[in-house]
Amino acid sequence: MDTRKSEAGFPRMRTAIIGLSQAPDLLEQLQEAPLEVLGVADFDPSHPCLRDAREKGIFVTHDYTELLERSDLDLIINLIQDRTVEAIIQQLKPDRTRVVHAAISSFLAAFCRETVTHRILLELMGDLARHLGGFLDPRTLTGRILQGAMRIMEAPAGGIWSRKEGPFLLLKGIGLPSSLQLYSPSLGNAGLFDLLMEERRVILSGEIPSDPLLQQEKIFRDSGFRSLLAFPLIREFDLRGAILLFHEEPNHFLKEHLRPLEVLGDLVCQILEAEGALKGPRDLLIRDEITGLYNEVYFLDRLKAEIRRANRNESPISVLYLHLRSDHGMEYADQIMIRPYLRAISSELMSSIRNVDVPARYKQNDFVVLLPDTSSEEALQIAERLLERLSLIRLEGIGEVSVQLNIGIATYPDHATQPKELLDNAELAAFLAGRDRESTVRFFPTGRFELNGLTPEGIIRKFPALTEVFQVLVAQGTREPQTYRHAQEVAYYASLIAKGLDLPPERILEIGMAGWLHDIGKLTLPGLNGDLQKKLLRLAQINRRIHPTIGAYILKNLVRSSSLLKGVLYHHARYDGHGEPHGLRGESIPLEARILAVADFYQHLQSDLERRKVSSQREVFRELRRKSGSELDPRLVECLIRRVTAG
Amino acid sequence: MVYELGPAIEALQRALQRDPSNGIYHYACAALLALDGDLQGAVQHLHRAEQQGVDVTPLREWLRRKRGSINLGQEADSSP
Repeated sequence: MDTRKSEAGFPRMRTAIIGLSQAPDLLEQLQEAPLEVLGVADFDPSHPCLRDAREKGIFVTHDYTELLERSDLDLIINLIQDRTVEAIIQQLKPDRTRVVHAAISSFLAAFCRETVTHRILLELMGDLARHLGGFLDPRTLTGRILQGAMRIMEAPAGGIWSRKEGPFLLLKGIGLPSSLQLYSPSLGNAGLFDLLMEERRVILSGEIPSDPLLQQEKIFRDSGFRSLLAFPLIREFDLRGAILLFHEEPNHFLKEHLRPLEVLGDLVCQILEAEGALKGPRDLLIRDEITGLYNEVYFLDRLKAEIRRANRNESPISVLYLHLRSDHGMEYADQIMIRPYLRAISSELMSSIRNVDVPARYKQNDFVVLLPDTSSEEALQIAERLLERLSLIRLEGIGEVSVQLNIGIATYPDHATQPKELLDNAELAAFLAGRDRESTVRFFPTGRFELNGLTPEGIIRKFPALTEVFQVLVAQGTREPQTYRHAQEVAYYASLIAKGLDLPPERILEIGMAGWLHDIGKLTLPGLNGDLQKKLLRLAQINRRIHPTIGAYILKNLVRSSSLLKGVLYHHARYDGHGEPHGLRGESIPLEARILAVADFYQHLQSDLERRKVSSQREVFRELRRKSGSELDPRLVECLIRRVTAG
Repeated sequence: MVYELGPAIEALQRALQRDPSNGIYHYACAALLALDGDLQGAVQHLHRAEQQGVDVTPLREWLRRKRGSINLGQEADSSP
């Protein structure tokens, strides 16, 4: 706690206000309070109250999670009445920081305006501040609140009942007869507390002895009281307790007097919950109810916070995107067993990751895992472990179910600089991995790469002479990821077609290599720096004519593979004979080159699909077939479509 | 199967006939001729590229390394 003192002698509490526009005058009104406002957040950055805050030299942001990172924060006043926001604040704030939640904060704002008429509330606010400052224990504060409620409602007797488990027990009672002090109701026997649970609102009884609602509560009839006010304490959709106030006179409590009580009720809940007396499923707001993992909203907020932390510490963050398919190729969303399946997966997932990792269920049947302080290489190790453990899941009563698991990896800051972009890129990587139709891990295609063994590393191991050209390609990939990605995916589609034609493995490998290197002639001209390269690439027509020749010329001195060289040299040859070079046509064009031409064009269409230039996969196939017979070999077009659709 | 640069050089020379003042074509032609061993031709196109305002430093450096002692700067300066 800060040692600086307010005028009253209490330490000044370092405070952040979230959602200030909900109570624009609050900053002004808090000037007298023992608070030092460190920061203010609001979703509406243009609100005048934020300008005022800035003029006062207070830090202002539209992202409230930024405020939660301040380790010196004593108090958060949250004015946003949203349970998810409240839960996220609880999760991300420093441990020692106390939170005044929305209902209480609104009360605080109201209190600031109505100090004269709400003298009692004023005293309670003082008690609350002392409690938050650590000078008043929760039980005493609860007693003060009960006293306040009784004074507001002019009730001679009252009590607060709460429970952790089992029956509700009296937490604090004032003026109660001994019978009511021992009153410990349970849910399920049609009593007052069941009514509170069902109605979720205040119950007023002006004539207890004859009230049909209280037929089951003989203890009230025998108490001698005529009026009852029962206020439910509800948190997270669950009845956690109640404040009961009694009066000897009939019809004493009036509905119009209830508003202050509502605020007090929420305050009691919050205090008791903070102390663990009302420990309950707050997690429901940030957790997925089926799997128990975190939900999307929480995950995205946590990702934002972790990226800011990574920025400060200059450390990487990786995200794994897990997309699952059944062994029959059908999405599990279509199956009845989805819930047990998701639970089994999430349970295995939880046991396979580190304590610091943040797993969440995402988009119904996918999962994401946030890996703080984790590089791509480390993420790959974790992903491979998950691949191994999650590929065979045991379902109770069913047995083992084999699963196609495709994991996409994206790493900050290599693959994205924004939280959502990072997540989207991991998803894209998983989607690309999914095309392999077998369980695989795939990086977002700008960093390291995985392609059924046809990786640059794998190729270089086999053909060390190609090291330099792959270095050129990788270097280009860091400047222009699209170029690298194009090479990688052409390699993939080309080898897919080659497999479809049942070519021998060695030739499939060479065709894959040709896919990687088919455009290397664009990058390897001597004296070609980035600027000149761009200028030359803009001259598309001439570039299209010369780069296959240059590529083949460069490669002929490095490898003897004729499949590779023929593929590179003729990949812009058209099936109808109108292409470059040499005007070859039909089957006289080497098979490798015809395969590359189809793979090349298909990859461009896939990129268009991802950029929404093409509307659907169906349209991709239509475009591909439109070129069939003119630019592309019809047999190979159909082969690729078959491979892609049949998986 | 012949993997030579001839077709690419011819394609560039045809392009230069249509557009003789295209400095990038000259630069690319110089690079291809240099790669093909025709250093004299390369230097001529390099000079034409420079006249068209292209920064030829990268290729000139490459040629210097390739040719060792020959002073490309003087050759380029004295070419038409």
